[in-house]
Amino acid sequence: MKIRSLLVAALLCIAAFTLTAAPALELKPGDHVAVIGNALADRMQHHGWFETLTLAKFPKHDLVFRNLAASGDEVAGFTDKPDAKVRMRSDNFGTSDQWLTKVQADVVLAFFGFNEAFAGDAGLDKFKTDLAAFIKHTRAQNYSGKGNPRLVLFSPIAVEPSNDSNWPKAEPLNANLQKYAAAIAEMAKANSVPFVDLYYPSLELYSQAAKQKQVLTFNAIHLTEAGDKALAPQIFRALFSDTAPAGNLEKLRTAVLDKNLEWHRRYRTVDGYNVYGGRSKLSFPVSKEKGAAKITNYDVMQQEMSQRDVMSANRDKRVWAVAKGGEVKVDDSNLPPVSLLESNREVKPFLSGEETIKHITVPKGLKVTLFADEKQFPELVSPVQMGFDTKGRLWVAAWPSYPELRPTDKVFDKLLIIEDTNGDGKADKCTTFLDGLNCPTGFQFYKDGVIVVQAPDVWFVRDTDGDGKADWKERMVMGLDSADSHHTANAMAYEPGGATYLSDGVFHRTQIETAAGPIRNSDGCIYRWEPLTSKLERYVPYGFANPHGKVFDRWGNDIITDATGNANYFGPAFSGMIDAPAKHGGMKQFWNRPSRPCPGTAMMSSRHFPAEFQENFLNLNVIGFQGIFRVKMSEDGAGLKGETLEDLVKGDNNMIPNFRPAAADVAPDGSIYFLDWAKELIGHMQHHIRDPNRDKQHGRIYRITAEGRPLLKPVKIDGETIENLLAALTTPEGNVRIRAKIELSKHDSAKVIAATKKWVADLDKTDKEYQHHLTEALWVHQWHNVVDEAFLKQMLRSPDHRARAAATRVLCYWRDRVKDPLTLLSAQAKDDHSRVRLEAIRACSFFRTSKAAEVALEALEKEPNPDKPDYYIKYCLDETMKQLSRFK
Amino acid sequence: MNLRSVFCLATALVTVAAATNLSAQHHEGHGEKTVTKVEKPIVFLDKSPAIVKFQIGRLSNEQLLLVDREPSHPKFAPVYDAILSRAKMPAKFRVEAVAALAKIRKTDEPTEILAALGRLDPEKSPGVLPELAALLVAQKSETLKKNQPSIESLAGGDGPDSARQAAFAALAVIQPADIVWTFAQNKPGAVNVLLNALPLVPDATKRAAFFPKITTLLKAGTEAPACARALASIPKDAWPAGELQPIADALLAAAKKTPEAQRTQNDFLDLRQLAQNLATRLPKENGMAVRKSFAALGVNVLRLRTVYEQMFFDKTLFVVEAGKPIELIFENTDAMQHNWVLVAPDAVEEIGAAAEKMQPTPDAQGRVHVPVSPKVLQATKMLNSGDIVRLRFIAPAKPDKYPYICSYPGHALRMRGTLLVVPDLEQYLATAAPEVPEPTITEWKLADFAADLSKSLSVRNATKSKELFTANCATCHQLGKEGAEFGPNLAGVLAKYKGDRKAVFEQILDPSKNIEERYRNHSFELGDELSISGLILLEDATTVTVQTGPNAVQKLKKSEIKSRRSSTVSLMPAGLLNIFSKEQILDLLGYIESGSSAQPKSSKK
Repeated sequence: MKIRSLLVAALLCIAAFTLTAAPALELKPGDHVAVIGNALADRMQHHGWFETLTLAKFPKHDLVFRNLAASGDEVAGFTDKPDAKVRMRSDNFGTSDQWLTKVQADVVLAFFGFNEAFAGDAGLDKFKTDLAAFIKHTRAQNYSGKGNPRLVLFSPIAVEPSNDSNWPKAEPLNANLQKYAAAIAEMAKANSVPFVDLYYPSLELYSQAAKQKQVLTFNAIHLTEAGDKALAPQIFRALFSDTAPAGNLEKLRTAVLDKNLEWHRRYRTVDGYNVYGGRSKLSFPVSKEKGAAKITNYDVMQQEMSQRDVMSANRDKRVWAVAKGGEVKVDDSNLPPVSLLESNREVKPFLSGEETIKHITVPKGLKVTLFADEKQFPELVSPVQMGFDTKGRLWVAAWPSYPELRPTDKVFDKLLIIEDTNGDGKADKCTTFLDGLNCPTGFQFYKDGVIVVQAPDVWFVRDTDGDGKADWKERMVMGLDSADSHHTANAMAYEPGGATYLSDGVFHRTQIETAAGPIRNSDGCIYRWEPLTSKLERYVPYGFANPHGKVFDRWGNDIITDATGNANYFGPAFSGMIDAPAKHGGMKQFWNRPSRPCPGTAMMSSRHFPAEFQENFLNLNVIGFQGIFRVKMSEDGAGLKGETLEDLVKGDNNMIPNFRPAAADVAPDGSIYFLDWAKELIGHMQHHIRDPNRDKQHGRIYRITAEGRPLLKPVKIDGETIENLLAALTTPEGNVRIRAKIELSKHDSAKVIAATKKWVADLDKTDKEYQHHLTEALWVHQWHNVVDEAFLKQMLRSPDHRARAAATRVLCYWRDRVKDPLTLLSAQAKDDHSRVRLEAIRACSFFRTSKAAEVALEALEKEPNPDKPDYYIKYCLDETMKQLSRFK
Repeated sequence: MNLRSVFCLATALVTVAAATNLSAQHHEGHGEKTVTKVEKPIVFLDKSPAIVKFQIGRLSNEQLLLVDREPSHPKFAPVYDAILSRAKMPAKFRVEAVAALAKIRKTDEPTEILAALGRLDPEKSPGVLPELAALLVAQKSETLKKNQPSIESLAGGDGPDSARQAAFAALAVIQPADIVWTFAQNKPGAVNVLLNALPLVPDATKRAAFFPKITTLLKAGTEAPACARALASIPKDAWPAGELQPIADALLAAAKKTPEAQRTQNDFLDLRQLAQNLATRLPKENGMAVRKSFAALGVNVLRLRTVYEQMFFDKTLFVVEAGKPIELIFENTDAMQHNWVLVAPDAVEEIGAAAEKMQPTPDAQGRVHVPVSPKVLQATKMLNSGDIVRLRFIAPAKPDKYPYICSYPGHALRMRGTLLVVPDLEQYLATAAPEVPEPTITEWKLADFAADLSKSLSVRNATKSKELFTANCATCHQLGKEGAEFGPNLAGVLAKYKGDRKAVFEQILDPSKNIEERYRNHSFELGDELSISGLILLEDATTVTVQTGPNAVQKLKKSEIKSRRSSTVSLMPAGLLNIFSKEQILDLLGYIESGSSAQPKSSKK
């Protein structure tokens, strides 16, 4: 340790010594500076410190910064023969050279090496070859029309060391990063390219921060804003051989961030497949007249992109003015026009929210009432996602911009809190928690804040001053694609053990950087993400069109829904590990659904409703049948099967063609709320993206109650003690248990686990739900990332097969931290119940030895007819063997 | 040939099964079936039979052949059992497996073949039974005779027909025709099995010995298709001339009795094939009459698919003859649900709008979103992803443009096509063809050309034939000075197939039937997204040179190849001839033949 810090100090001295030399980079007036590379560079545009310092230093240069970086990018994607596998973009996005030409780059700042470093020693030679090819190629280009670009190479930053058990271990990763940083230095020197080392300076910054009990990253690998602020002067000094400007630069940084936001919306536009990709070529008549000319999505959306180019340039002007100490207002009066077109479809006028109810049928004894609509709250438009927080308040993602925001839109998408403060069953208060969004396809509560999908990123936002509005933000995940905006990650369900789920539909190209290496995926996939540990991996890589639903039953079995075909699957069987780029093969659906497509699903877990409704799977449907299917779930060998019951909700599509139930959830009082997306034109393909009849004014929330049955008394969760929250885990309603665990996650894990052990000891062993309560206790451990091997072993041999199956799933995710996991799995593979055997086979797929294959195969011994094994056992074993047959 | 027609029903079943799997294949992004993965798999043979069977069951043939095997230890028996019963296994490995099993189990070869025949499920292992049958009848007759009781019990038992056929063929090898026939008559349903078994008998004179029995049966009007298949396997010189016309009449009578709905099935096609064969040997007038009668009974088959994630039909125009029977084979290769609805001229908007307003409640025929209206002329059910449906109907009597749509709400805006009904299809194709972007698709079969191919081919119109060749073949094949060098050079093609014109034609219809190693398609995965496929031009220790198209060659470093597979599917698409009329095809064949007498100049390195 000591030796290393001495070394670091020595290196810093060398850096200081070079200050007297000529600056590594000379900026000229009017230069366009392009930033390329991985998430380190991608994040710089959102924090803006280096750019701000540079603009402050060169106020008269009128510099133009354009950030072209993207999470996951590697240098091999930027050579003369670019490797598209390490610079994944959706269809027809454009090459790096095209973009660098578009931004007329005079200067290219290149940040590579982080993702490459996971290849270790074996990848070093290739990395150097790729670097050399990149340097040679880039320096031979003329992007600006004024000559070859000036190139600067940057090393990756180090991984931040930490004793936090939720963080990855820094040492093994840093051993590689150090070598890759050195490789960049070597190639830079060999090719006489300026090089800026960030590896050692970042280590030094981490150590300084640690002394103040601070951290500069949130996950060991990605800098926070504070980290960006700390690193920026280092970059500045290395580039310009000068100390960074001091003083209050917040005004300039705000102007920079405003410009960067506009550029980000242009460069990383959502819905790319319809803006520049395959479906942008769809054309529609401009008017209803016979023989009218046709206009493509591409025509119109590219006009909008041109508007964003001009808007970015307009914001450059303000940046320059502020840098010079002055001020100008951004003036967007110079935007180029966008073509207008008529709708290809007449729409029926809306009935009011109240009138709509007359055309909705529900089972006898149930009643639908209007909870809220756009008349009462004009901001309630096109609601698509919902959830009840720990205070029992309803949160709704409103998406008026669907399919996506226009450059000139003044109304943005929002996260709303809609409350019934007087308990009369009608909303009376609406708060905009977060405004300025574009396509909020998913959100989920996390600790004291909310996780929101804002492709290509996932934000964690909080209200730190208690005014009911978000004022703090961190980008926790970057690089989720949104090539088709409604294929973007949605339905962020929690598993009972605390991980949540993201997703991609077809056309998408996703690159997410993690401490275990970049996760890349083409087209459909569901990802499992532990926000606490930042672990993220492909969960179900499958040929989905658009996996738009994830729900977990009482025992942690997930039902996964592909929206487009409304294909519903039993999740445990096809969520085993399969290495990218492979995907799982076709699997049967667990329920023969009567209609498609499905924008959302839910579990009906509420004693307010009669017994036959308990634990029904709810499947919402928006075309042809516009309502909510109700599905009885029962065990079917190793899996579950569904059986259609009487519809929960059925709209009369002749009378209310714009009635589109999009999400449903159980409220704390046991009633069921559902969202009406409220628009007649919904398809991406059937109408032009900018068809004027796409509704941007309506949105409704309805509530279903059972007449004559008492509502449930909401369980208090917000602000409750750990003991009370643990007690809430015995509640039959799933939503209560999940919200209790969300609240528990705000508490110190050590205290929670200690209290959990006491709670377990005090449980009534004769309670018929005893095994479920114990399973909840195990899930609390998992949620807090605390392994208790003895307790796990106890649950692996629980008398209830559902508990054993759930414990086997926990074992899968603790396999790196328990002794002899394969021995434990071997017992599960020989379990008397096929559900448990299925989980064991699935868990085996995560190992990388042939021994795991032997364990998985043992499950066949228990099949009553080994020639005709259970469907899911056979499917999962096939997929597991597909993965494992490569390992010795 | 004969073998094929006996088992082509089974093959047809497989085709449908494969089609329903298409969505899964599609999901995985592999359009074609690939088999080879050359790595030796890890298989635990010391486990319980169930585990061993499961492991072996999931291996491809190529992987299976890499698993250790020795005839000395019983643990290898499951490996040999699998080799013996796998489809598309080269015959030499089956021979090896039978010998090994006989050694391991201390039995003889026929016993092992009979056991495998009894074990096999013909639906799961299509194509294997005829190969096992061939293996059985090829055994020494002494060893077969030793096994006569078990052969008879298999032939007369209630096992799958194809296994019984093999046993009957073996009986016909070791017993006189009269005795075998009597044996069959005494077992229920066995005569049909015997008839279908005859093509399997290797000795032509043994087959011919059954001729009188078969013709008697055919003229009585029973088992006509099976009789036709059996007769087709008997050498023509064994047929008395006086029997030709009565047999042709009997075939026509049976064909007429075949319900219209079944006239695209093999039974009907076998009747037609034999009749067309006979027709060439009848006096000209009589032969013409037979051919015409059969042509009048035929059914036009239309194939339609949906385009993945594009909301389109893959064909937007079909041309059919007014009042003629049609069979539509509609396959949904998209992720969404789709159907096919034929509507009255100019009724698209009306029906599309009406369908949208409907709840997805099934009608009396189980269809959804199909409005009750006289303007709906035909409609399929709503197809899920991967579904396939056949719809038989009579084309409208009135020539006109009949639109077809998908009536799933919202889809009719994009998913449209036209069924063009013309008074005379031949005439239409002759005159209007150039204006038609997508002419009628006919799934041509070898049988459709049986008669034509035995005649001499002459090029009716040299210019048109050359145009056809240039537009359709020359992009990949060379003939004379013309064409690209990608597929095999067609100069000398007839000689290559020993002058067998049918074999050449069959190769065009089914390009995957025989693939010369030099032209085998190989695919190389280079990483997440990137894979290329083509012909291997050159391979050394570190590189592979691949021709990916007529004018595209890529050199791959072996270190960059993640995996490679060789394909059993030819690079040449099947169905290339389906857009042509019969006359056009004959012209094209004539052109190829006339140009193919020249030897290829030089083959590529």
